[in-house]
Amino acid sequence: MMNKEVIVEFKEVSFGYDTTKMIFKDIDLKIYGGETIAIVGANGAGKSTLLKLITGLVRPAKGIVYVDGYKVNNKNIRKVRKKVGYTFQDADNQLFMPTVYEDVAFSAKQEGKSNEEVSIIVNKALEQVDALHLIEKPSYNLSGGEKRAITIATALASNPNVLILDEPSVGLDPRARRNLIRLLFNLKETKIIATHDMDLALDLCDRIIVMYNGEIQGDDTPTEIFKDKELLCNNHLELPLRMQGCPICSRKGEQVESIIL
Amino acid sequence: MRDMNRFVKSMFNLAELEQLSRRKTMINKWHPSIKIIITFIYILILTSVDGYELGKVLLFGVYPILLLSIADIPTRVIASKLIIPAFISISLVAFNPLFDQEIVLVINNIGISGGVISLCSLFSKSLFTISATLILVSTTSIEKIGDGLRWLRIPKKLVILLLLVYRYIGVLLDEVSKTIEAYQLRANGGSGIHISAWGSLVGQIIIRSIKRSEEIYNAMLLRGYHIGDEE
Amino acid sequence: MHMSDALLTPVVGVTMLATGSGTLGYSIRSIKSDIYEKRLPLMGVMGAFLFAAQMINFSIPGTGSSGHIGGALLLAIILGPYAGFLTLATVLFIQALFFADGGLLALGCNLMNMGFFTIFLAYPYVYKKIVKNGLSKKTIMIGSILTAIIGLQLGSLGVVLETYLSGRTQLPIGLFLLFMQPIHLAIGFIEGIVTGIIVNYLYTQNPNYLFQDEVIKRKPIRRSNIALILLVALVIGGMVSQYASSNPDGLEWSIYKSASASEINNDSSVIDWFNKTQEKLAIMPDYSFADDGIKESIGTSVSGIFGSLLTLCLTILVGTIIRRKRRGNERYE
Repeated sequence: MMNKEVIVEFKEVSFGYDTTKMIFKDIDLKIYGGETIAIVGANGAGKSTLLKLITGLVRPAKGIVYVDGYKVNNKNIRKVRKKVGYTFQDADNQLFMPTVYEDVAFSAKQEGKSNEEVSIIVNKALEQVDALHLIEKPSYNLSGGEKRAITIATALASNPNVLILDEPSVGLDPRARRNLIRLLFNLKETKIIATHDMDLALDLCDRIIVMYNGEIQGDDTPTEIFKDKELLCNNHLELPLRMQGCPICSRKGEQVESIIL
Repeated sequence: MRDMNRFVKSMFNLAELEQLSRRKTMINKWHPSIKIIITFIYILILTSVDGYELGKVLLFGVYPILLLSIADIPTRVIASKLIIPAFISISLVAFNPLFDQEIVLVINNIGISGGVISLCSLFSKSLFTISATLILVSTTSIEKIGDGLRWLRIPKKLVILLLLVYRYIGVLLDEVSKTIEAYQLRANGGSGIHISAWGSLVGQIIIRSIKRSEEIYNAMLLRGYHIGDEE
Repeated sequence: MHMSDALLTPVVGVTMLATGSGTLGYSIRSIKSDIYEKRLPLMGVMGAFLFAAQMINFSIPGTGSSGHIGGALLLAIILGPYAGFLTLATVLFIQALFFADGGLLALGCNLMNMGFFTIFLAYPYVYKKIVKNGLSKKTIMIGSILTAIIGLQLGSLGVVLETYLSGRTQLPIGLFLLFMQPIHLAIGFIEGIVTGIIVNYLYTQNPNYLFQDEVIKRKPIRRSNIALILLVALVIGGMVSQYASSNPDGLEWSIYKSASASEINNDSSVIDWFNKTQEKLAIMPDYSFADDGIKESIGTSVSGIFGSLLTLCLTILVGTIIRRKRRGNERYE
């Protein structure tokens, strides 16, 4: 459900870790409130860097990034980070406290909230991801799917406007993946998801942005993107698995009953 | 493959103590600073007892035995963590009987030297002090220990470091054991790392750890992390 | 090299705890807050790494045996001395609490033996001097070996002194040294080589992996504070020792009385009963006193020992009853 407000904006943004070699050149991009966007592209296309630019973890060499009207700079960085919830690809890097409670409580505690307030925030965030039963558990002992849910809870705890997820479905078993998709579907925040998982993009997203070599190659609805065979091919992308036809059926041209799960 | 057991055992050991510390028993609910102080005072007084006063030393055993029962800590769990370390920790001075052979008492016509008495006393002390610390961690979770330390005016910077190290022990044990496993599968037997791999194997783990820590730092920053000056 | 609590007396233990705490405080003050903030995650992960790395078996070529590293030097080289010392302290704390490796009272001793000498003496005055004119495979290796050897020699000396001063061992100090120092020479040599090889690898991958000096602006510490802490430590340690050894044990005292029943006019019915029961059951084995004053007290504590053992057995019984009752009544998570 999209509203017309621009929540993230890139204006002529250029960036490179090495000033002689720019990863991005003059990127213009607008993301609207309530959208769910997938950023897709081959490894090295610049997806993670794009996400880091939104959070201010890296700063552009040229151009400006805006989050909810605020310029992403030193003066606003605290405000910006409050508005953005971010989940890392490797959940272990994000869950750095001994227990789930402590992890989800971290940002609230950093803000100096009282113990009661913190408790309410933690409970609410864990309920949103259906993980209240994990509240006392130590972080390192959780399953992949559970860790993923908790990382999302830590991001939700600061009441963000924008949720950024870096490869959220990597390493999840099919059931956990399905739970993740359902969870994300029910969250109302603006979501920006960097992913290789085309099926997830198809399931969740209003809009797909294709990146290659630091440039935006395509920016449209999933239907339009997946119709454009040339675009996919040039950017080393594939159709979602379920749009690729049944491999068993098409093997050696034999007519075999398709297996529908 | 002996290496494997060491890593797995450590992880298991931590997990067991972790589980015990998160139960809702009576002692678990006590203020952590009190438990830390009591444990420390117990160790302090016990270690002040002279080595020849075996009778007195043995009486100190009442504390851990009672507490293990009141806190309902399974003896099996404690015993495995207690017996061997108790032996090892006094191996340095196990030679007392050799040097103190003066018979100080005779029981049923068997002469017992002062060295034997002091060795028994040392072993008992070792057993009891280790029990006391194990009881502390079986009834107090790490974050409560952190709270207790803060209450005792240990600087916040040190406490948060403690929590971080603790948190990542499991991850690093896992990573190191997997790296060594992969090495051993290709290394034609032998239970250790050959000198040719010392640099790259350990170095790679360190580099991965450095990169991991950068990600953790980013994760902390994004959640408003800030350590101020204090005290 | 971890010392256990049983080897120490309160005086030595608390003094070293105070010294260790002082050094920790000094280290914290030596790192600016914003730099500490940035370095904290690396310290955390390196601490966890050290923990795991101490379990790695390094095969020593030509000997068929293997060695392990302590890691203090490695920490200093990667994190810097102050951060390295703080990290080592947390690792030792966790080892003492959760793995019965070292003890709470011995924490100060272990921190100083395994950390202070290597990080604050050997590292700045040996390693840094050697690599001052340039990092290279050779300087790193020579620096590591010499630093590790010296650091561990001093550390091992620390162990010997602390044990000897505590007086819980009958091992003559000369023999102790003769035993400890050569062993730690070999251990230090191996640690130096392993550290050197690892640091060399890191250096070739990226020199930034190794700690580079920063300008340190430290908050001034009042010397009087340190002196005060040490004084308090000594007083407490001394007081506790005095109290514990001069207060006669109640049980022992009563048994002493009963043991010399023939000399004392015995009115007490309890002691009377005890004597009669003893005679009837002959529970207490025959024992004899020696003539010396000192040995007399040891002699009397034979009954003390058995009395204590009996007490422990009773306690175990009580404990078992408590457990059985608990299992019957309570349910907790």
